[in-house]
Amino acid sequence: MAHTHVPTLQDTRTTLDGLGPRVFGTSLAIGVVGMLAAFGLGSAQGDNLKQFAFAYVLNFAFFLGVSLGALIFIGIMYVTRASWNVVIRRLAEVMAAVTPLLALLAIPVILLAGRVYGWMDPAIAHSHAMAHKVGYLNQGAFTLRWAIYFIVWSGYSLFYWRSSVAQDKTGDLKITRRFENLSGFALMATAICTALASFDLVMSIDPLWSSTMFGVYYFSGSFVSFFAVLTLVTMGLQNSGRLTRIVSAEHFHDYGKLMFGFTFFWGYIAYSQYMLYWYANIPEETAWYLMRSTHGWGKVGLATLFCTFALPFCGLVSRWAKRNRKVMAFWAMWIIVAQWLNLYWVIMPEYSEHAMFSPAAVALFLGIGGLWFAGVTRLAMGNSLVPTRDPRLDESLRFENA
Amino acid sequence: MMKPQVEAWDNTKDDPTKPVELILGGNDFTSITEKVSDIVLERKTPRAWYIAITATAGLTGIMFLMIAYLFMRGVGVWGLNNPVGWAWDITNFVFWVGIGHAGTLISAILFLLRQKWRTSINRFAEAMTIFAVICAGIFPGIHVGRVWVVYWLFPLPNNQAMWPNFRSPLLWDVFAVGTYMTVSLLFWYTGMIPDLATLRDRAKGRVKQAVYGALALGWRSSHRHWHRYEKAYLLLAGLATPLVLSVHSVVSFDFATSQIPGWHTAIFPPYFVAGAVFSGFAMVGTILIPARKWFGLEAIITKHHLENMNKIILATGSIVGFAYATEFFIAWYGGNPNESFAFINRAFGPYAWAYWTMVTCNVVTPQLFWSKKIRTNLTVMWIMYIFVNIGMWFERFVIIVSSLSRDFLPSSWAYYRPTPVDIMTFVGSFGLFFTLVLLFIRFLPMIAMAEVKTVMPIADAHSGERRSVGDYHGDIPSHIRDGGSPK
Repeated sequence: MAHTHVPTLQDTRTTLDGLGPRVFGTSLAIGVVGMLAAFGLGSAQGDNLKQFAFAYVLNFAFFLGVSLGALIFIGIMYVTRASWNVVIRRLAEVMAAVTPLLALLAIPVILLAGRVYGWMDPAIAHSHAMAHKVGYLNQGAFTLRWAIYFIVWSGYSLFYWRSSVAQDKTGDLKITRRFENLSGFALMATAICTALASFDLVMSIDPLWSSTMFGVYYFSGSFVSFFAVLTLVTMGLQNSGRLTRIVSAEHFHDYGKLMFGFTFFWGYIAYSQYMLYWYANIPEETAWYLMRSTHGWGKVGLATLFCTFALPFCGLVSRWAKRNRKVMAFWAMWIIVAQWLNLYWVIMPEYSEHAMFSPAAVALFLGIGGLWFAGVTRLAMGNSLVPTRDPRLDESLRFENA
Repeated sequence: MMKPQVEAWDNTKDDPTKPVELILGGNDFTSITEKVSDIVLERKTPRAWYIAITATAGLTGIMFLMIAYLFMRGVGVWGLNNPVGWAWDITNFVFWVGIGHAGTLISAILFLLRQKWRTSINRFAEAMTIFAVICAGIFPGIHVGRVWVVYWLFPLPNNQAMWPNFRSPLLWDVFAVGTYMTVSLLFWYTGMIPDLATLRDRAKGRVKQAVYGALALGWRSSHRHWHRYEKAYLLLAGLATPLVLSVHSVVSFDFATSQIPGWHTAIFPPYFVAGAVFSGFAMVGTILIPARKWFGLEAIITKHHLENMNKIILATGSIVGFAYATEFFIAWYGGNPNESFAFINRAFGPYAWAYWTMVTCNVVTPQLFWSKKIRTNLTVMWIMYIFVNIGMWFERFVIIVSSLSRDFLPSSWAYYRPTPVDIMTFVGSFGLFFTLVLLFIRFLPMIAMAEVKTVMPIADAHSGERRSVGDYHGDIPSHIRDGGSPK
């Protein structure tokens, strides 16, 4: 309401303090245990870690997507000169700045590539259909590209995080101006790397299938997941007495709008890709969907249609839902599971023709997720959770959905 | 009058510490009302307007003559040949539908995103949306060959059991464009009701009062009216937002559902939408820049507004460029020889001139907007808008004609050349578009007065200059407003 007291940073706690080491320790423990459990489960399969490798790529793709979503979010906020987000932007900054850790987590993807990627299979690599692109799809070029992607992503995300933390001390307006000037380029470079990375990481599992839409498909799902994670992180901090009052129902309303909007956008992209391939019915294109609609995978695909698109769409359409913390928490958790399930449906059929449940994939969700979250927590420790001297902070505190 | 300092007005300086001043020149509610409504009610119609509308109406006449000729003789009067069964007709259709995207993006999506700057330009852009969709609608209607059965496009059950093919994207177009037209028109009209009431209240002649009065639907600016108006507006914005995506997506399905190399690619829907917004903003800018000057609206449509539009042009132009690159990359990566041939052929085949025109206009030109100097220079940006308009027409031409002219069977390859009928029909459609724009400028408020007022500092509840409740038009006499006796 217009006449209520505008909250200030003094009204709440804005540092992690004692909570930091505890969350860090717990997530690290979950991460390590998850990794070990997944490795155990994977080894027990007796398939030379093939399932483990697929499950690893799946979860790596998921958490990489969340961090890239954060990086793209920050860029968009600066190019549009948005103010509402300032009070929660530091959370996005640390989620993005964890990309160097993701670079380390990418090493197993490269090492295990032979178990996942069709282009590592000599029979396929030497086939006529691959002849023109073996120079592109091989382990050396693949590794080199990942190095470039991570230099770009880490460069931008660390730049945002470091300069923003520096601004907490100096309040230097030049930093904001520099962000505004560079964010356009950052977005372009990030978009190009993200699209190419999605081709490499997920699409090239089947090297004979391709879609111009795939980059957009991966980005749109990841962006929704990012907002869901951001919502839960904000709520967790508030439950611990941090960021209370300064992050209001107004901000959650915006989270809800973005989750709703990009859930819709994801549905639009997924539908367009599916429908166009189904309609034209060209064998080398429909083969990909055929694999994902037979032997039980069709049911998983149908589940993603409802879980990833239709249900959250209906659940988040109302203004009431977006401003209700419990409902928002429910849908945020739901969306994380649903987007993960969608990636499962995209990736795992390449491992097994028959629909299957992979305990290793769940263990790796905790494994990679735990390490990822430990990294995020570590970055958030020692600094304010809010960019305290951002010039638009006051506007963000006053923000109302009027 | 007030002219001298216009050039000095500059609100394009980015200052992160305070919000941008959207309305300049010391305007208040009253002066906004006067500036905008006087164009329609008080000012004498300039001679240039009569000259312009005569010219544009003449062009419209030529278009209808060409259509009549087409109906008499058949589509053979166009330059179509055997492999190229679609050319300028569908190019023009997609071009005009694309132009019609800026309006609804500005009015619906930017509204949901609380972009206050949209208020100065949304009316204009929405009007252009409607006019562009009218121009677009003509082309599929006349291209069907047997025009006397054009009603087959609509799902009308009839006694011959002639059901339309629901699996054809051309039929989806009828629904998509029809829905878009309907919702855009409703949105435009709903948003205009308070302003029409302002015109009604200020109009002097009986006829004007009656017409604007009827159009204003009994608007009295009461709290209840405003409450319902804002609810309706929000709902329409929510409904119109997916339409911004759906129309051009469905238009892209016309091509992408087929198996023609260069047409069948999954990224078409979002890439067409980005291209449509790109071309739409360029066309809005093309007309807005002269209009704001001729009608002295520099204080309302400021350089900041134009700069923001240029940023959207830069963003969507980059998306379009990125989509071109992705298509090229996947055409190579996918390894389908027909697909890679289609793209090599585009860039180096007989239509290379069109392809490079498109790339220059759509990919290179908008990148100049990275420079703030260029983004804020009126002359330069206007020239760039023209480039973008040309480039986006060529984009559709390249996609449609280059793929068709060299299809799967080399023995039937042929080069398409437009006939004078093709050219005059297209040029004539600009006549129709500009005729409608001129009529709009003359008879309707081209700035959303009521909305502009909501983003002015005096509309803020904390502003000391705040007027009393209900004084939305700034035309309630001060003695009533302040509750005192007449001075």
